[in-house]
Amino acid sequence: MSLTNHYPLILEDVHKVYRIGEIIVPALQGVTLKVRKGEFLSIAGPSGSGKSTLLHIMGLLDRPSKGKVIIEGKEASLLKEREAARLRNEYLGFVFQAYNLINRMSALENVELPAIVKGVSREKRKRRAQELLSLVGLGDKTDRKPNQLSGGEQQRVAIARALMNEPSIILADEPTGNLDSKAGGEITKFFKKICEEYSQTIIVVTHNPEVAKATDRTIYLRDGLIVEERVNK
Amino acid sequence: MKAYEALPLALKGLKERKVRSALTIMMVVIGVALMTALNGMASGFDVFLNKQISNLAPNLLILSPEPFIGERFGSPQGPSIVLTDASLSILKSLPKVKEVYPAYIGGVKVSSKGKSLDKNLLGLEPYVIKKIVPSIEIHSGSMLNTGQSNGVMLGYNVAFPPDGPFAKVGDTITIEHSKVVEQAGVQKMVKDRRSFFVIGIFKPTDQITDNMIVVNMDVAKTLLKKESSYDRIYILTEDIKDNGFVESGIKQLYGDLVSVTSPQSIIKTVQELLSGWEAFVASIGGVSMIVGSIGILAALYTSVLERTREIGIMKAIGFSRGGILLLYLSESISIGILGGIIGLGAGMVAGQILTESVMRSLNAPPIEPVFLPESLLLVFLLAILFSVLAGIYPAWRASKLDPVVALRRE
Ligand SMILES: Nc1ncnc2c1ncn2[C@@H]1O[C@H](COP(=O)(O)OP(=O)(O)O)[C@@H](O)[C@H]1O
Ligand SMILES: [Mg+2]
Repeated sequence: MSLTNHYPLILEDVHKVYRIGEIIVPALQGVTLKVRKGEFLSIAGPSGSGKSTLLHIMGLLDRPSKGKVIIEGKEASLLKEREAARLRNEYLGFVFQAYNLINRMSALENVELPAIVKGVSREKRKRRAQELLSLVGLGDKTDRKPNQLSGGEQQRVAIARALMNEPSIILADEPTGNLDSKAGGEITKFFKKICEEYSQTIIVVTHNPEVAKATDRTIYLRDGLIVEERVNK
Repeated sequence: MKAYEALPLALKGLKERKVRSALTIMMVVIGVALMTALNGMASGFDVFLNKQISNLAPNLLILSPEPFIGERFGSPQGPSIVLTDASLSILKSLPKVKEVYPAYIGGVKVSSKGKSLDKNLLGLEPYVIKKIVPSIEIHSGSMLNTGQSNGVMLGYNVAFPPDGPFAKVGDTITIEHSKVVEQAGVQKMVKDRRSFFVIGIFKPTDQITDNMIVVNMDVAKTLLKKESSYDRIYILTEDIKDNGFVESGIKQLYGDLVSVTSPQSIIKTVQELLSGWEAFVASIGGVSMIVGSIGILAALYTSVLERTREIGIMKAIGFSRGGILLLYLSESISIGILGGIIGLGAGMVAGQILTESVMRSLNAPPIEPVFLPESLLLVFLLAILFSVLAGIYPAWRASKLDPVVALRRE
């Protein structure tokens, strides 16, 4: 087994500098991290510490100013735009704090979308979308539009969408941030479940200690640096 | 993404903003309909006139004294050239001239069973008709005989006007001619009327022939009070190729005192007129298409701005720049296709109404618009081309949105 099979994601000395005119904002100042296959990892830290920036870089939505990002053995900086898009589509699944569903599409159509991009046949992707929605407990609400669903339900649709193409990593940015503790707790439990049952690799940004405690390992960011790392029992 | 998957997604996008999409499509519809209608009218004219002219012998030249207008308004000095039998022999002796036939023509009032019509009376040797209008056929009755002074041939429209039959073979009709004459310095209207038997009726041929009343030449001469000059001389050349040569021979002889018309020259004049019209159509169509394109551009650009966040999501899901570009271009192509289809339909209806009302207001014969498949296709493709061009900029803006910036926007 090669090294990358153990580590679907490797970061090496990742820096990110934003520039606002003359002012330089160092958002990340050298992050090195290896994420194991099947690991449930949480990233915690105060607001502005660089958590979202790190997640965007891991998700190939943004490029580091310096350092390496290696996903499933492929070095991100060497990828063309199209290849990066394909990797996002096939290897990565995103879940955001604001759910970010497409409002004019039904729950089922939202879940289907990544498979349309991938080129999966209509019949196949409809069947899988249906299965995934049943898995997140929304098998009877597949035709609802996002605005006809509660926050917790919308977030579960978003998770189903993230799972659509069987990604190697799920990236979630404060997925429970907009939810009450009950709905948030269900989301966390669901993540835990798919991590254990399907050895799904999950990286979740949170500043909720309850969420962090549920994960295998928590890294703490401050001013763009990992200041602490804790393995949760 | 498979390209065909973009279309349903695009349609969903258009459906989300129904009013805006409908208005944008309307702009395309107006441009396409305008071009279709005006084009259909022009083709209608073209087909109509070609049909009129194609019945005439192609090697025919029609010579008449100038000025035509003076004659019509009863100009006191009348035509300034006199076309006599001597003129006939001179014309006949011109090289490449095969045959020459004289004719009289004048406006008359015909009456039958209490109804009366204003028509043109043509006086010539009956066998000449077949020479100048080779495709002519008899609908009912028989052909007028040479010298038969009480017989008349009617064009189809004279016998069967749209408002009901006027006369049939065997009927007696009266033909009345009025002329202003000067007697001892006083102008006076002189009327002359005679009765005729309808010998035969022609089949529908062309607008002029269908409205013609034909009698023998001598009859027309007395009835129309013609003196020394013929009104028309029909000249058949040896071949169409010789038309130009013969025409210049005639011009050398008579200069501007006569006008020479030929089916060929009519076609040329009409085609010049029509090409002017087509340029006009093209410029109107062009302007409306550009206006429509700007409409598409504005509508799509607004959508892109509104959907910044959504485009970020799409990119996170795995849409590449090309995918986003395809998605937004599909929206503009959909606008073009929908607007094009509706516009073609609306344009055909509008063309029908427009042509009818123009013809009615001009008191012209009813001309049907003609919608050629190739011009419809061209207009349709233009609509799509313009909508794609209009979609390029908004689609490009969408494709190059930075997903991180788009996603951070609340
Ligand atoms: N586009 C940007 N331009 C300038 N500064 C930015 C931009 N995005 C983020 N930052 C800055 O980078 C730092 C890290 O931001 P972020 O990753 O969003 O932190 P967190 O998610 O932990 O709250 C913050 O100081 C933020 O202001
Ligand atoms: Mg954040």
